[in-house]
Amino acid sequence: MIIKNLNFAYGEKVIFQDLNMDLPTNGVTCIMGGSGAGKTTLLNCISRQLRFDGNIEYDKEGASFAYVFQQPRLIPSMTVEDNIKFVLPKDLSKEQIEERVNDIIVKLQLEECRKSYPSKISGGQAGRASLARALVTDCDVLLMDEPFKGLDVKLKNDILNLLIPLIQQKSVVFVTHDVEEALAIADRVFVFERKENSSVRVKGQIDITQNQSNRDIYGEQLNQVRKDIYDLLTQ
Amino acid sequence: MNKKKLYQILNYALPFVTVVIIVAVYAIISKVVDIELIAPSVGATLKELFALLGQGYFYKAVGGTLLRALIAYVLSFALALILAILTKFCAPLRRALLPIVALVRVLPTMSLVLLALIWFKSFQATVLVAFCIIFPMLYTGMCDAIDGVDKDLIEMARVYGVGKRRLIEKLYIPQALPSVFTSIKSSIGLNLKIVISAEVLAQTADSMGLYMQLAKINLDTAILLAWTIVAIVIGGIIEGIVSLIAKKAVKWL
Repeated sequence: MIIKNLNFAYGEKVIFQDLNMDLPTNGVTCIMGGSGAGKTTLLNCISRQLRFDGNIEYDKEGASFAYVFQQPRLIPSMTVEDNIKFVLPKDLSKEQIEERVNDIIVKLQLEECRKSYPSKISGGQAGRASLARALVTDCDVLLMDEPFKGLDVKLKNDILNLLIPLIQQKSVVFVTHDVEEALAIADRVFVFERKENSSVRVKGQIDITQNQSNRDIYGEQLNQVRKDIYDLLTQ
Repeated sequence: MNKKKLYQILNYALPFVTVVIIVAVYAIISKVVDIELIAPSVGATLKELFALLGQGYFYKAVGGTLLRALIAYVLSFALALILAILTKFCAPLRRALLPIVALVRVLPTMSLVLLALIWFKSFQATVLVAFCIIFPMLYTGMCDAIDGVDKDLIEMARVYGVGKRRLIEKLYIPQALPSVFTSIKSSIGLNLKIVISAEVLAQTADSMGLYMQLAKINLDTAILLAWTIVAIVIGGIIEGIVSLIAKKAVKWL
């Protein structure tokens, strides 16, 4: 995915001015940066929820999106299973829907709560249900906006371990404040910076070459990446 | 018996205990006052109540009142629902309706009844009065219910390209339902009260209001109280049915 001369403003407040980025195809791009640095706005531009000037070239024409929000945003009147079904296209047959939903429910270990309403499930289950809803769509671009915010470390790691094999063939844009999450999942990290009264600039870009599934996030190479990201975020 | 079970029993029993206390207090007042015209005894009231149950005109009156209440409520509900949906997508229409809704809401009930009686026959007047009071309540409640649908969920559905029909069917309607039921619960009992009040003033044929007015004219307080008990019981049954439906329809809460 290539972002070319992206311009966007909320009224008078300019967020992006001629922003250019090259995002890896079938890989995970992490967007990091301080609060108000335009990370979520970028996701909203990519998913075409916001109107912008400039060009975003997707890997495929008519690319479809799935979005994992900060909050699970499950519909309270539907069971977990129905929430997942809700986003599937109408032209699928009943059998295809059942097959896809069953498959993702098993992969994300949601069997126990598939018939439960969101008010009756735990935060971890809600997070996994939100992921399941995004992944069941077989989208081209998966957008994730701090999906693990508020989850404890163990839960976060469990979900990350379930997620990594499922996103191998997808273009993912992942917004996070957490360096450890970025180290676990990213192929490329962009650090955004936005100073008062100015537009967003890409302060730094770091590529991680190790494959996510056998990555040693405390190894020498990633320790150096960790330090580089911290430096970019704190300087 | 564990605490939870005791709490459950108390939960069910307390409303009945309250009713018994109210009846006991009234019985004491009736005994102290000792004038049947002002505070007839519980026994005399119950006697009149059972006598009423054996009369053909009783069922005609109850049926007539319920019919007027039903017509007024269905009209109010249907128009409130249609306008609430239309005004959601057409903001100028909502602004245009504001003065009408505000006017109807502050219009004194008595003025409304008297004017309606001048302009219409008693049947229509009764329905109109109830409609004018219930419609603004339901309309405002439904507008709030639709406006209250979680915008984050709507945004989520849009990102995933969910169609309008599925959006309305699976998101808007279920999300609005709890607030709609709250509006119904708070207005359906009031609807019956207004219809009966209007019937009293309009002296509508075959109505509970008419028989209450006749009991008052004849200084037959026990009969008036018996009709009042009937109105309370009917109102309670209607509210109970609505609560049951709400519980079934909004089972995810």
